[in-house]
Amino acid sequence: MGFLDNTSITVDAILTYKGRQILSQGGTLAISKFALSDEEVDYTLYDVTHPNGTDSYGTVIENMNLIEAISNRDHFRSHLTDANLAGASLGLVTNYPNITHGTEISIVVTAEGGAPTENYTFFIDNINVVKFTSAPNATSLTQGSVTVKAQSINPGRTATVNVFGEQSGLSAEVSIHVNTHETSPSNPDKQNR
Amino acid sequence: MGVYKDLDPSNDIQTNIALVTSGIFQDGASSIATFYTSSTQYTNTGDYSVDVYRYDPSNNASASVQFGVAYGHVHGSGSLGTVGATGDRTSAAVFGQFNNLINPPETTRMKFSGKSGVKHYYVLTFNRARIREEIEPGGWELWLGSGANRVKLIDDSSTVTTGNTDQRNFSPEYNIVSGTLAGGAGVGEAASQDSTNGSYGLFYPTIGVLLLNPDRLGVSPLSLSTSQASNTDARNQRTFFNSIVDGTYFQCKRVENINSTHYFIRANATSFNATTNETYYTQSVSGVRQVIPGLLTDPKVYITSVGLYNDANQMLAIAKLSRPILKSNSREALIKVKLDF
Repeated sequence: MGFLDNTSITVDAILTYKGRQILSQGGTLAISKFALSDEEVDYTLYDVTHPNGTDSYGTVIENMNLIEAISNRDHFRSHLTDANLAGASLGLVTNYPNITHGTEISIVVTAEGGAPTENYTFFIDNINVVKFTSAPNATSLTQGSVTVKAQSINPGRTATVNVFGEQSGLSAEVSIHVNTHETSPSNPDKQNR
Repeated sequence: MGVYKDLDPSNDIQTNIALVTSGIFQDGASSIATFYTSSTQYTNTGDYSVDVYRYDPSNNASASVQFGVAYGHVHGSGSLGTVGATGDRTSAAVFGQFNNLINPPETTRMKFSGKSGVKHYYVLTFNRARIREEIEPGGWELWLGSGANRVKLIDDSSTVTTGNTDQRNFSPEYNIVSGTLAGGAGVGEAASQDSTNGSYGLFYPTIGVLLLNPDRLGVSPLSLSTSQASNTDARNQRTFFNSIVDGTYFQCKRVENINSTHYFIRANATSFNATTNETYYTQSVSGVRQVIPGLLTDPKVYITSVGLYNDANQMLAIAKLSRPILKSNSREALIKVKLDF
């Protein structure tokens, strides 16, 4: 007879930049919900031919060491969700190469594979490269679609716009490369947070 | 449910405030017996204060400043310079500095318990980063030596729990008295006992400052000599440092209020069994996404991270597991996330 294991998993959380910002401005965190992620997991490593049987199919994944949490995050790259969203995805153009400064790009998202129609949160990783036309200083916006404008920069850079379904958590990534504007004094690498 | 799940404030969120004490000195030590200075610092700014290290900075690159000691005199005695003459009058600067910080306006002298009008004091001020929030009242003991003489100093927070009632800029203020923490903070000589010279000093836990009374230290049992010669670089701060070295013992702890909140993350059997992770799917030529073989009939996913959000879906905190944990229709997960701030 063995003893039952009555332990639960306990982990320490760290504040993100947004959490710190709210505290530094005298606000309260008011955490009201959570989400789970399987970032870092590559499911192609799930080995259905493992000689030790089904219980060992996920051994490679289960034994990996995960990296530590870092503050510089505002979203996960993937989320765990309910089974009704399995196979659902966001349809959109994911690559815009060779964009000239001043060009406006509409990012329109289509719900596919059973994904619900919803608003999306758009995150720009570098607003020196592209900006939302409706909110130039914002790094994120939540609405049905957005338009971004390529900035005058030297040298050229690629910005990533991450798109997340507000409720479904479905995600997609849009890559926009803005070409060098030779006469521009704006360095795309300056701090924009 | 999509990606977010609401937390039940009454069942899933527990908050508590813990009082955490820790050693204030380098490497978390609560007491040290050896003290070092930096010749570079002493040469450059030693006429104002002396930085004190736990390790010798000349041969230990990780040595960091633990605290500083200084001497202040209202007229600048014990340092070079007088009014209308050259010289930095460093002791006057130090006196004015701490008098301005601690005392209310129009106060020009210090008061140590029953003795007012004191013109000078020694200062021991901790490195700011070492204090964090404050020094623990009743958590320090400093031994001073002078030749064969010794005195052991603590604060009187064990007997005067609310501190002095003098109107200073920082509260609480405790007296420094002779005594020892061993056996439960036994006060050897109360602050009011020596009405001629006053108490040994004053202690301000919130700013990490000990002000010591040279008049009291100058008589028995320590008999530490302090020079009040005019326009003389007497380096009384060095004398005070040497007294600490001779004492060979300094115990001190800091105290912090840690506001901890525990979030109980419950992933029920029927929830969180799919993922938006791209590697979970294959895509056929017709564009139909399918779960990869092996996971199609028996869906399994792994949890690696927990995100905590506000109502605006802003990620405010993030927690990572040490290893991925399996989640499926036949498994529930309970993850306790601890957030300190």
